[in-house]
Amino acid sequence: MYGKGRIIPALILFLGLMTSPIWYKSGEASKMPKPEKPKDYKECVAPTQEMRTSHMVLLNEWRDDILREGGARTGKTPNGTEYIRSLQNGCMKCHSDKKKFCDACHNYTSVKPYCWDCHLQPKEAM
Amino acid sequence: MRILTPFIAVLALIAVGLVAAQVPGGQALIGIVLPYLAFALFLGGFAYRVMQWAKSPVPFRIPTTCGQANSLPWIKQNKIDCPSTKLGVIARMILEVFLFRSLFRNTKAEVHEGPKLVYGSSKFLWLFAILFHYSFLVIVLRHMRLFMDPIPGFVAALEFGDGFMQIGAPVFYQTNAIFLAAIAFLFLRRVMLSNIRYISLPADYFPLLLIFGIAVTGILMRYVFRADVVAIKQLTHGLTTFAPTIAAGQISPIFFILQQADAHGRCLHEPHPEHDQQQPDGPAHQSVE
Amino acid sequence: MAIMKADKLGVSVAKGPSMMTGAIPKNDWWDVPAEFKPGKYCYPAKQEIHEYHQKSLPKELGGQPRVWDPESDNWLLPEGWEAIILNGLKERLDKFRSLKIFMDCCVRCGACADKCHFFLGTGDPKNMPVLRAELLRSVYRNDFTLAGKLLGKMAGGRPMTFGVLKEWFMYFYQCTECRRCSVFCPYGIDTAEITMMGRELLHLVGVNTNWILEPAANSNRTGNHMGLQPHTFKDNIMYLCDDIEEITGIRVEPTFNRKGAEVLFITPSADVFAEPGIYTAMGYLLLFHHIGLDYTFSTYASEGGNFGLFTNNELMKKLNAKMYAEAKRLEVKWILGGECGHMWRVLHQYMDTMNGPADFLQVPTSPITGTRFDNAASTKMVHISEFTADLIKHGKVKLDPKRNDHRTVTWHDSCNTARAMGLLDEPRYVMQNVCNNFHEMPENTIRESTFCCGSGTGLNTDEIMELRMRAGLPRANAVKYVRDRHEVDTLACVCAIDGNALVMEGEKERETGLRFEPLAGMEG
Repeated sequence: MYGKGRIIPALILFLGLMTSPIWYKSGEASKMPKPEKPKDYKECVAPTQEMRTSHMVLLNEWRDDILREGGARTGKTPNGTEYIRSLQNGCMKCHSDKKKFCDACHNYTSVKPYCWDCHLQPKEAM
Repeated sequence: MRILTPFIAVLALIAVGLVAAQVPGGQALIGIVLPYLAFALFLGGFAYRVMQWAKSPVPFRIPTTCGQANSLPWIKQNKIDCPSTKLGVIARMILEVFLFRSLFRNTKAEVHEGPKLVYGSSKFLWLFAILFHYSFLVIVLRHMRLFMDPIPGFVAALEFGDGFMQIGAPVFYQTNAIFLAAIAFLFLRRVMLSNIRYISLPADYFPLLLIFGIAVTGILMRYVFRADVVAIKQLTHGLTTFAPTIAAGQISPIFFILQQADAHGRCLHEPHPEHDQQQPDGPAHQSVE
Repeated sequence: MAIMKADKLGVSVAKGPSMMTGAIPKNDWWDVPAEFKPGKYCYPAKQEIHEYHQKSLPKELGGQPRVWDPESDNWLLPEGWEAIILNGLKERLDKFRSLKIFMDCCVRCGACADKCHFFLGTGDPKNMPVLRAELLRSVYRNDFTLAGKLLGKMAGGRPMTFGVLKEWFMYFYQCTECRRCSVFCPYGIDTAEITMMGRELLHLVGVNTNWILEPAANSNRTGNHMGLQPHTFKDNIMYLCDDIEEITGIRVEPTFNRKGAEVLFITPSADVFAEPGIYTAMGYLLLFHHIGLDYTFSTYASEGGNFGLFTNNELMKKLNAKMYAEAKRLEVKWILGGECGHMWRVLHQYMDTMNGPADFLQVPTSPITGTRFDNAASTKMVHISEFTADLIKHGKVKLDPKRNDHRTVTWHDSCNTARAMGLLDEPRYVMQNVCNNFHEMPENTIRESTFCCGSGTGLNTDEIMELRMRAGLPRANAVKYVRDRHEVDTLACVCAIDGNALVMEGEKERETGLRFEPLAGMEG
């Protein structure tokens, strides 16, 4: 092998970089987020799995529908429970703790929604 | 034939992903076994190839000189294009590897009646190659949010910059669009330009189609079929800590699996020379005068 | 061997069906066989020339001497020639990392396609550097890569067949190793290296050309391509001295094989033998006389050119070795080199490894100006234009550029001095000082992007005149451009083979005329 002095260190550097997620904070156990669910309410506006994947789409739809199209301010769950189509007055009514609910997953997956650029953050989270 | 075969190969990969996701144990195969296998093959193949190259000596200093050499003190040397110091060689290599400098020189020749030859500037290949590679890099780095915990600051910064137009939810990334446009350009260029089509091999179309497939499935997963990001991270981060878990029923099945199948195909595909470029021992532009 | 008339050739280049004019071949390139017709190939080496080489080089490097005809379907190849080629390829892959990487890393982006003068002039797809390399690469993939072994044709592999060999012989002799394509390649793939390897492999099975092997044989025997023996070499130079005396009234007295001279001067033998080189040589003689340089010619190292470069590494090394051998024997301090592009490529990129280091020589220092040529610290060999530019800069030569006022001049960078050395501004500085009317050719055709004259690498033979004219088109086209725009009438070159009408004015050196008159006519 020729040029060992340069090639081997460069190769090790490359392999190290490629596997860096393995070395990165490897000592710390992985923490799965455990969003705190409201105790008093059993039902959300859509099934849990759909809410997990698509709540942001729902929020956007509400915003566009109400603010731009003049849509209804309330909706009904499949079981007939009425709710307010609003982040602050609807969602946050049950999921009142932003830190323990929203942030848990958002921080885990590096999602930074810009909801709170306009909306007032709930007091306990301030 | 040259396009059809790789196209069928990519479709076949997608089909395998589709089927395997429904079969018992298939998710574990594609989500856990194949990723490890593919990654190991990629790293092993990369190192093997570099070592294979390194086994041959470099007896002669034969770089192409692209500027005035170091000569008389009053003649201005082109220190980058005809370097005489290590520093110059490194500068030349960095510009070549990171900015595709030779490609930037590209011209287009035409023959007219006379015969008269005309040369025009032609920088599209350079532009789209740069866009392709750098948006690819940003996309890969962005994905580190799924492989690292806590998430490093640069990943968050990249995500913020990439989505700064704040269109839609989940937010739209510019690099996704640029990436697709660049692959489309590179692919169409191969198909439309008669001389490039003439020289192209299945091995040239395959990676383009495969990468295109990965990009499209990835985008569908984010915007259309809605994957459960937390469950995905549980798996992907689990892979890096050697404790992978597939959360039952939570991973939006089909397209996550599709993406997996495709991305593995990509990793299994022989280490692409593009990566090899990053070796500081790049082929011709290396030697000190 | 009918040569197409220049005007018809011009129409054919611009209008004939070719990839340059937008015609797409119906068949895939691997299904288009190479056809040998008169005018499309260089003649094979004469049997006695081939036999001569077999005496002094390892036999396996040259294959079996015989009489064979490229146009026939039986080239009288040795038994098991395919294995000979594949073993030869393996040996070279293990010897040169460059070859290995060039075989692996091409992605067929096509940036090189329209950079080749042979492609621009012929429009033949296999003259795109990428396909020229694929001719070899397809065989490499088939037998040396896992993908090729498993997938064969699907991975772009081709077994070594007679058809492939024919393609090699055709297209590795339609490349002048000018390396223009390598300037544009994003991976720096150097087609010259690939062509060199292709030609080496062809030689292994005795496929060769006379125009290369005969000068190489001459050089091996007498020290120069022309086969000039020592007394003839000396006589020729003395004739030049007589001419000089007649023109200028000055008697110059060069010395030969003089031990203890400070400088050994080596130039291609064409300079002392044939027009236009002799005018260049007269320039040298006058210049050295004027500055009182303590130099000597060698009648053994009487050739700077090295046709070994066009055959194989061993022959190149052997022919090159005489320079250092003579420098050692004559106990000179350093070597001054005349023109000749490929000579400088060998000196600059190969000699140091092949035959160096030349520890017995000193770092060249101009005795006239005291300038130390540190860039030549390793090879101990200085190019005449560096040396002359330094003289002019120090005011050591009296120049009257007005004497050249009747000429308008442009400069042709030789491929090798430009792209294997970076010798660009020294000759331009000399030009500035010897003539008042100077115009550059268009940007894309000079300096590192310079076009080959179309006759390098042993392709300056008359049997392929049409190919040479086609290959010379891009250069001629650029010359015509400055002729039309600036009334340029003189093309100055660093190499006698490139030019044909030296303008000799006393101290001025190397201003050679345009060899492209027939081509210029063709364009008109």
